[in-house]
Amino acid sequence: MTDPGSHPKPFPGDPETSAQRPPDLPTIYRSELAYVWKTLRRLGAPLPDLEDLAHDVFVVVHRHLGDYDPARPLRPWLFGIALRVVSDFRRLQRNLREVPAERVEPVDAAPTPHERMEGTEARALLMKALDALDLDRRAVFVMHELDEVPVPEIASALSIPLNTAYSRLRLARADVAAWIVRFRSAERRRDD
Amino acid sequence: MTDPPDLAQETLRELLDAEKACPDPPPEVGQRVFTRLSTSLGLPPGAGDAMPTSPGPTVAPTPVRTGLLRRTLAGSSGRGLATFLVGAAVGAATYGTVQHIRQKSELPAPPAIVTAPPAPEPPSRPPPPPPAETAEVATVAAQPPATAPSRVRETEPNLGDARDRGLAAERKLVEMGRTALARGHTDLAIAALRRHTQAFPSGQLAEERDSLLVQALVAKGEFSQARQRAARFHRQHPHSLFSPVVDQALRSIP
Repeated sequence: MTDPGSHPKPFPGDPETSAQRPPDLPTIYRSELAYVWKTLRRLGAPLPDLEDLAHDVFVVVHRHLGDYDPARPLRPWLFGIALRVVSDFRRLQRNLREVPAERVEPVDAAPTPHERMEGTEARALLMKALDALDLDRRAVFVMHELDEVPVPEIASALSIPLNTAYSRLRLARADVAAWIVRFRSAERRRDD
Repeated sequence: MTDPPDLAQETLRELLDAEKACPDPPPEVGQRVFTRLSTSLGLPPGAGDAMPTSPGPTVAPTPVRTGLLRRTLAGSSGRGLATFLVGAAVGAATYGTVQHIRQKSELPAPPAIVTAPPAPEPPSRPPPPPPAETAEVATVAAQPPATAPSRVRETEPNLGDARDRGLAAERKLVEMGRTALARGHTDLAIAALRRHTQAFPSGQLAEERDSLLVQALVAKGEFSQARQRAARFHRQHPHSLFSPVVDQALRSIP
């Protein structure tokens, strides 16, 4: 985990040139689809809906590209859009029966089967832990712990007060750690 | 016996490392989404040509640090492995089946959506009882939640907002039209979009619907009607982001 407030390296996806002209949509799409995809998944978007939601994110990006300040890092801006898309999606889906979906990862040939299995299982475990968080805390946690965005930048990207961002991060960490402790205890009880 | 907090933190770090090494989506997904975007936004063909065609080195996951994580998972390694594999297989099969059913059910006109269109409610009106805009939504809404209520659900405001569900119904029709158009089923596309016009004449997605309708009419060969619709589109939405798509469709008329 990184120390809140410190961010020694630039964000991935920063416009290298910090030119005044924003990149066009195809350029953003090519470079950031994977990031958007992972972000949507980390925010709890169901696997069958990921393509739809990724499409929706880039439609919003297209509509609001004029609002994007190229001097700012791109990914927190994209994250804010993805968060709103997921939030809207969850609001629309909230009356539907929720079926916990098995998270199936795309198979990758590079790692050994054991590594792949273990990595996939670890990712699924983390997603379950994140599912225990509400979306606000989850967003701050994902942005900071996985995207390594400093908290002040998170507060700016999500338009929340800085103290609120720190508070959400602290509570999210505590919630996830508590979930892990409960998970390990349950596993031990089952094994005994 | 409980874990000391440090152990939970270390496990968490390992889980986070595993997630950071998550592979990118397959290239074909990128192509599919880009094709849809091109249809929606009228992006020039070939704009996505430089889409990554292979996962590349960035996807190769770094080996997961497996100290505590291995111990965390080890207690249930045999059972966990079997459960995971069975779960993954069942999940994949279910997903495939659902996708198949969804594809089959999207093209024929689902009657439930159209029969009882919910008029978009003015914001000042008190929240009305849920209108029966779709049998599907109404049916599932009547069912109790299948999972234990989470904190999210407890803290969310009252479920069921007519405006949201109206938008969902709108989106469903527009998506049907878009999908049918992309597959070359122009009649189905026009039918779905006209149902949207009847149900939501001034809906939130009216602009997108009208642009799709022009494209569908052009694709069907109804050129004069397409021109009329396009003229009306430009009158009603003079600064629309979909204007380039509409103009492009008109330019394709021989």
